[in-house]
Amino acid sequence: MNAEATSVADIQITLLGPQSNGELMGRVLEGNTDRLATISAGWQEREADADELAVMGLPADVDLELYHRSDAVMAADPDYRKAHRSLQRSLRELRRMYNVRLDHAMASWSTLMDWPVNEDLADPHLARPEQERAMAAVRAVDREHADRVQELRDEFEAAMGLAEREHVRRQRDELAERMNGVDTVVVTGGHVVVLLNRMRLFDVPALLAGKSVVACSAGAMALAPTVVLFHDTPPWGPGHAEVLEHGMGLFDGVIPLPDGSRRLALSDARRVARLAQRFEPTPCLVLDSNSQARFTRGHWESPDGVLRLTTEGTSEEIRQW
Amino acid sequence: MVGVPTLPNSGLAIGALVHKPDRTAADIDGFVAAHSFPLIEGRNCTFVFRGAVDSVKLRHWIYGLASTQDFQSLPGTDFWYLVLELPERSRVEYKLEIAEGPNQRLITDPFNDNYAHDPFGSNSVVHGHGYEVPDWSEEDPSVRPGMMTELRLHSHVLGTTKQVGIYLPARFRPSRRYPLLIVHDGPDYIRFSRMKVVLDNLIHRLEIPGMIVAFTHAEDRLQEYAHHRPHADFLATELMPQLERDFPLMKGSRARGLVGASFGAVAAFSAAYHYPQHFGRLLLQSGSFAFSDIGEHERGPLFDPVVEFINEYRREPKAISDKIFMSCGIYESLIYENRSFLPILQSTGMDIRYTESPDGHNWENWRDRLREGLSWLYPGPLWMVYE
Repeated sequence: MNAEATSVADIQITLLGPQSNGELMGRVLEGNTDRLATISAGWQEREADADELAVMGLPADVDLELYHRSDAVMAADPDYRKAHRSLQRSLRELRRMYNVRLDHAMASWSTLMDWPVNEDLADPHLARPEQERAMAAVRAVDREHADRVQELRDEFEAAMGLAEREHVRRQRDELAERMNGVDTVVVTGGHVVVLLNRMRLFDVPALLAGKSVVACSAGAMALAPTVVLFHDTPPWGPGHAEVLEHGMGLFDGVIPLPDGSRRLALSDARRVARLAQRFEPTPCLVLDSNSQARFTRGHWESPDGVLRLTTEGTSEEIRQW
Repeated sequence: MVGVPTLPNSGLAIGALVHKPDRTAADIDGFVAAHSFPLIEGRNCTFVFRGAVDSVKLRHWIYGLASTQDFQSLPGTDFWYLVLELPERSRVEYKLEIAEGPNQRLITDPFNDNYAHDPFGSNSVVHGHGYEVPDWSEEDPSVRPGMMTELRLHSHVLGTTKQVGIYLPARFRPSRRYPLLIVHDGPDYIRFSRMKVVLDNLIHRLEIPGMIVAFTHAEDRLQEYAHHRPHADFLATELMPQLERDFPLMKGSRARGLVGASFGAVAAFSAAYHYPQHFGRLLLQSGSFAFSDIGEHERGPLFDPVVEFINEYRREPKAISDKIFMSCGIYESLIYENRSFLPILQSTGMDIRYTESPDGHNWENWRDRLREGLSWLYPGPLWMVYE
């Protein structure tokens, strides 16, 4: 978790999945849109698009425009732009290396999990400790990757003196001013890396302190302690979930899996179990278009129920945890 | 292998009918009414026909099998049948050849409502066990559709005016830059391989990025696509610059691709050969990469420039692109040429993916391979975007 993250006790968070109409958003916001700001940087060029915001039941003209502000910083500060691009190249390369390690670790774990019980042995369950070690190896690869990414990001921010750079500071000041009188911030989905980069650049956790936050899809992933990328049936590759990096750490206790019913093979018990076991004890939550998870008064709840993946390979509806 | 299984003791439904003692006309009617045809039972496929005719043959385009297979009749009835062994996931296009006295006619199978269409008409289609029409090739009302527009430009090198269909992805923004794909036989890809629907679906699913696609068309494809230098010049020096002026395209060869099937694949490969490292992505389907190791080739004079080109390339292979996706059906004669071409291409260091399918030389085979080809050449933001 980000060391400077806002404490979860300070903030009410609602996590949603993809929103193709404004129905659920309307219920969550309960009509309180007067003191609202939106962050739609994940939409990239479509950021702040009034039509798209309207589809989600959100007003126009209250977007913080982090994507465009980031473009403005890049244009005005070539040294920063160059360093940012260099960092992104390094992170992409690091992700490729992580996937090499992950593929092997996942293959070992998967093979051992299918190891048959052998009644001829003195201990028919001889494989169990090996399975646990294999799982620990996967978790180690995940953890080491997230830590390594964080190292590179920290080095980058320290080297660039981000907070002191003129154009960054100016944008941060403007944003702080924009946030006066804002009670609630809605973070939409989109490209999770684009979103993370802009959130870090403009120190969004500081802006969100004391606000109520509604985060959809990639927005929920970016604010989580760990960003987990997932898709069980990509056109190429084994479809192992990946740890991208540490998220903004605005909350604990949930791995958000937006649109999970479509992106995951929920009927494949082995895959479901592996995913749940890998991140246990943090619950992996399927955030479909009609589901929500809300952190309030120190605990998580879901008024209409939300699906959690179980280590047995099923998905069960939960309402509180 | 596709083949004709022996009927006795086969356990097939047709076997019970054929071997039924005291079989009546009502038994045949009941059999026909009880099943849909062609009847798939495991790896076996039963075709039927009814009519007072002299012979019935299955005409197909499976390379390696005799091009026609004879139906058998039940003596004293108008009932004809044929059982073929059909490997899993196969997709075979066929017609029935009916002979009545001196007259012969080629018809689609009256018992089969499943058709495939191509520029020459329609064929009946049988799907082997396990084959499914890909859901990403079907229209989906929840998917945001892209838009088709048209570009007209006069080609000096070809001496004609070209009409090019332009696909713009859903949510197209002039402020964003897009990769470009140029498709040979564009109208056929749209009509017979549902390429617009496929693009809409794959972009919506984030399996490929939003892209701009130019659907080109040749008036005389057998000339223009057969390693014809003016065609390559048209693509590289006329069409590309025009597209770059009119549309927000990403720079660099990795963002430019060519697609073609059959002779269209030769045209794509030939254009990349004439303009090496200009088109960084090639999708070549059932390419007509004919060659001769010794002596004359047997594919006819239309193939002369192709054979000369491929022979030359085989002698001196070189990298002309970054990534090439090739596909070919195992029931088409070009499987030999494509398999032979693969190691030649691999020897150049280009990144090559090759896939085979139990299908023939047809537009639905090419449609069915578009997902793996396009998503490998242009991986979409599937892992990064969560709307």
